[in-house]
Amino acid sequence: MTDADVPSPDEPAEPTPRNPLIEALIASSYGVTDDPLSGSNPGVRVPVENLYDLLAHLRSEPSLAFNCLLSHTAVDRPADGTIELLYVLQSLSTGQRLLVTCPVNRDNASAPTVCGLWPIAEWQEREVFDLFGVTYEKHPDLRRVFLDDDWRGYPLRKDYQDDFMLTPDEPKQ
Amino acid sequence: MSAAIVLLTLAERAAASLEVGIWGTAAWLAVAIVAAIGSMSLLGMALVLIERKVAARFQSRLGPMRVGPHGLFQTVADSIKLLIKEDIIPEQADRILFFLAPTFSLIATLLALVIVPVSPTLHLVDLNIGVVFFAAVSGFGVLGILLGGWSSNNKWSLLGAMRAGAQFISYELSLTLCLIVAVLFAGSLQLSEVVASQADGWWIWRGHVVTIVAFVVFIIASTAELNRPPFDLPEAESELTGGFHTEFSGLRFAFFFLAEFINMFVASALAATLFLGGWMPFQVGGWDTFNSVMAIIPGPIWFAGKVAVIIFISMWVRWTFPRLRVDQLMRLEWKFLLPIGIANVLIAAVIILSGLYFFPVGN
Amino acid sequence: MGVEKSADQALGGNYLLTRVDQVLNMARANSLWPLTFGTSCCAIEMMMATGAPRHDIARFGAEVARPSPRQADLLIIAGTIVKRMAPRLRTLYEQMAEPRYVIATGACTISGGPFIYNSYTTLRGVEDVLPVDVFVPGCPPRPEGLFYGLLTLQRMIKSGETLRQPGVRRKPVMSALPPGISMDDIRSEMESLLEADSEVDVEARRRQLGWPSSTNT
Repeated sequence: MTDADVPSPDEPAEPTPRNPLIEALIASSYGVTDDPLSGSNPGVRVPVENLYDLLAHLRSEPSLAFNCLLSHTAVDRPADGTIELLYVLQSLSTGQRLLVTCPVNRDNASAPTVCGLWPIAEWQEREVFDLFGVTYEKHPDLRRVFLDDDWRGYPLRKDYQDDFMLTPDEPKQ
Repeated sequence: MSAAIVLLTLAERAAASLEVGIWGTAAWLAVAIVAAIGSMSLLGMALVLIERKVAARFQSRLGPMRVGPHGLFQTVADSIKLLIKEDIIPEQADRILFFLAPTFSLIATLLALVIVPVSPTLHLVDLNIGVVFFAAVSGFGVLGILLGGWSSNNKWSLLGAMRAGAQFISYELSLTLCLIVAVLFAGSLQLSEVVASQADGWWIWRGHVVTIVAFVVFIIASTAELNRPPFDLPEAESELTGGFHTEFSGLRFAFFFLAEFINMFVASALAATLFLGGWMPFQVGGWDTFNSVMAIIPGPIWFAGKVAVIIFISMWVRWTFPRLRVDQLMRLEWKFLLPIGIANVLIAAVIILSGLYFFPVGN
Repeated sequence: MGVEKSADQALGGNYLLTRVDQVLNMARANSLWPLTFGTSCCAIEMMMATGAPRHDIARFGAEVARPSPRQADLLIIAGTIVKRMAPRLRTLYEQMAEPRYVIATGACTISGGPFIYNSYTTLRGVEDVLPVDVFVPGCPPRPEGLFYGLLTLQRMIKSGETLRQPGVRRKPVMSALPPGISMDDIRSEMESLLEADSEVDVEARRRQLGWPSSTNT
C-alpha cells in the first residue's frame, strides 16, 4: 500500500495487488479510487458528492460494519485548490481500519455532515470548521469549538496570517 | 447550650474541689479553658506534622526536613503563614455565616475534646452523660460544613457541603450504634465509669466478638464522619476543587484544617476509651508480676499509646485505599454498616441480659 | 554582597522590625503551598519532581498542594500557555490570596519555547499575563533545576521582603553568577577589554576602508 510509484489517484491500473476491501469498494458504484498517501492503513478517495453514501454504506453493510469514527480531520492543499477531509474508520467487530479522504473545493468548502451515522462527528466536524472553515450541511450545532467565538479566520489553512504570528527571518547569506 | 453545660460542670467541680469560692473558681476555669485551647492547638500542630511525615514514609519519601531538626517545626511555619495570609471574603458571600462556619467547626471540636478521659485526674469534664454529649456535639460539627458551603456563594462548594452533610448524618447512625454497644457492656454513660469497668480487661476482648465488630465499624464510621480518605469526596480535590472550604483562605481555612485533625484525635481517643480501656494498663488475669510491671507505666502513657496506634491505623488507611464515590459511600452505610450495627446491638443486649458470657462483666 | 541589597540594608529599621520581618519571612518561605496547575509536558515533570519520592518537594515544606487558589500561595506555571488559557490563568492568579508568588518553569512560559514561530495562539512568555518572580529554564527543566528555582524563591523571600513594602520583591540576582566568579573578576575583565578596545590605529583603518561609491549600479 505504500507504493510511491503511483502517479495520481486517477490512474486505474497498478502492478501491486491491493487490499480486497479496497478492491470491493473500487468496484462499487461510489466513484472510489485508491489513496496513495494512506500509509500503512488501507485508504480510499471519494468525490464529495458520493461521500455520505459511501460512509453510510461502510457503516451499515454487515460485512464491513465500520461503527467507530476514530478521527475526522482535514489537510489543506493550496496547490490543488482543495481541502482534503479525512475520516479514519474502525470496525470494532472485524478489527479493520480504513481511511477515507474526500477533497472539497477550497473556496466555499462544504461537505455533508455524518452526525447521523456517528454522533461523535458532531464535535469533530466543529473542530474542522473551527480550524479550516469547512461548513457542514445540516449540522445541528456548527460553531467554533477550540478558539473563541469571535476569532476571525481559520488558522490551520496554510495561508493564514495575523498580527500575532511571528515568522522567522529568511536565513541571511 | 452545651457550652453552658460544660461551663457549669467545670464550675461545680472547681468549686467542690477547691472550696475557695468564686474567685478561685474563676481562676480554675480560666486555667482549664487555656489548657483546653492550648492543648488543642499544640495537638493539632503535632498531628499535622505526624500526618505529613507518616504519609511521606508510606510513599517512600522523607517529608518536611528543613524547618527544624527533621522538619519538627514545619507546622509552626505553616501556622504563622496562615495567620498572616490575606483574608478574602467573596463579594456575594453571606458575611455572618462566612465568619461563623469555621468557628462552629472549631467549637464542636473543642466541646468534644473536654470530655476525653486522659487519666483518672486529667479529665476536664466528667459528665454523667458523656457518651450522649459526644454524639450530640459531633452532630454540631456538620453545621460548620454546611454553613461553609452555603455561605461561600459557590455552587461547587454547596454541592460539596450537601454531600458532606448527607455523608455525616448517615454515618452518625452507625457511630451511635457502636457507642451503644460499649455503653451496654459498661453499664454507664459516664466515661470515667466506662474506663473503670475495664479494670479487669479491655472490652475489645472481653466483649465476645461483638465489641470487635463494633470497634471496626466505629473506626470506619469515624473516618467517614471526619471526611478523611477514603471517604473524603466532599473535599475531593479532583472533583470539587476544595469542596466546602474552597473559598476560605488564611485563618478561616486553618480553623477547618485544625478542626479536622483534632476531630480525628477525639474520635481515636473515644475509640480507645470505649473499646481499648482508656488509661487502663494491659493486664492478664493471673500473671501478677506482669500485671504489676504494666501498672507501673502511668495511665496517660497508656492512653497516648492507644490513641497513637489508632491514629496511625487511620493514616495508614488514608494512604492505602482509593476514594469512594458518593453513591458507593451511601451504599456502604445504609446497606452494610447500619444492619451490621443494629444486629450488633441486639446481640450485645441478648448476651448481657441472658448472661451468656465467659468473662465476668460488671452490673 | 556588593551590588544587591537585602531588604534590611535597603530600608534599615530597628531591631524589632527586622526580627519580626525575619520570622514572618521564614514562615512564608518554608511553607509555600503550590496550586495544582499544569498544562503540558512541564506539568508532568513538575509532578514527578515535586511529588515523586526521589526528588521530593515535601522536604522544603511545599507538598501541601491545594486545589483551591484561595489557599495556595505559590503558582508554578508549568506548561505551554495559549491565548485561550491566558484569561483563565490570570483569573487563578487574581483569586490567590496575597502574598502570592509565581515560578515560571520551562521554555514555553519564559519565551514561548519551541512554539514561537508560526503559532497563532501560543503566548510568547507568560510575563505578558502576570508578574513572575522566578524563571526556571529548561525544556523541561530537570527536577534539580526546579528545586533551585524554588530555593531561589525562598532566598528571595527570606532576605528580600519586608512588611513595610508589601508586594515588593528584591531578586537575588548576584546568585546568578557562576560559582567561583565574583563581581570583581567581571569588573577587572571588563576594564581590560575596554582598555584593549580603546586603542585605534587610524591609518590602518583608513587603508582598510575601500573607496565609497556614489551610485547603486
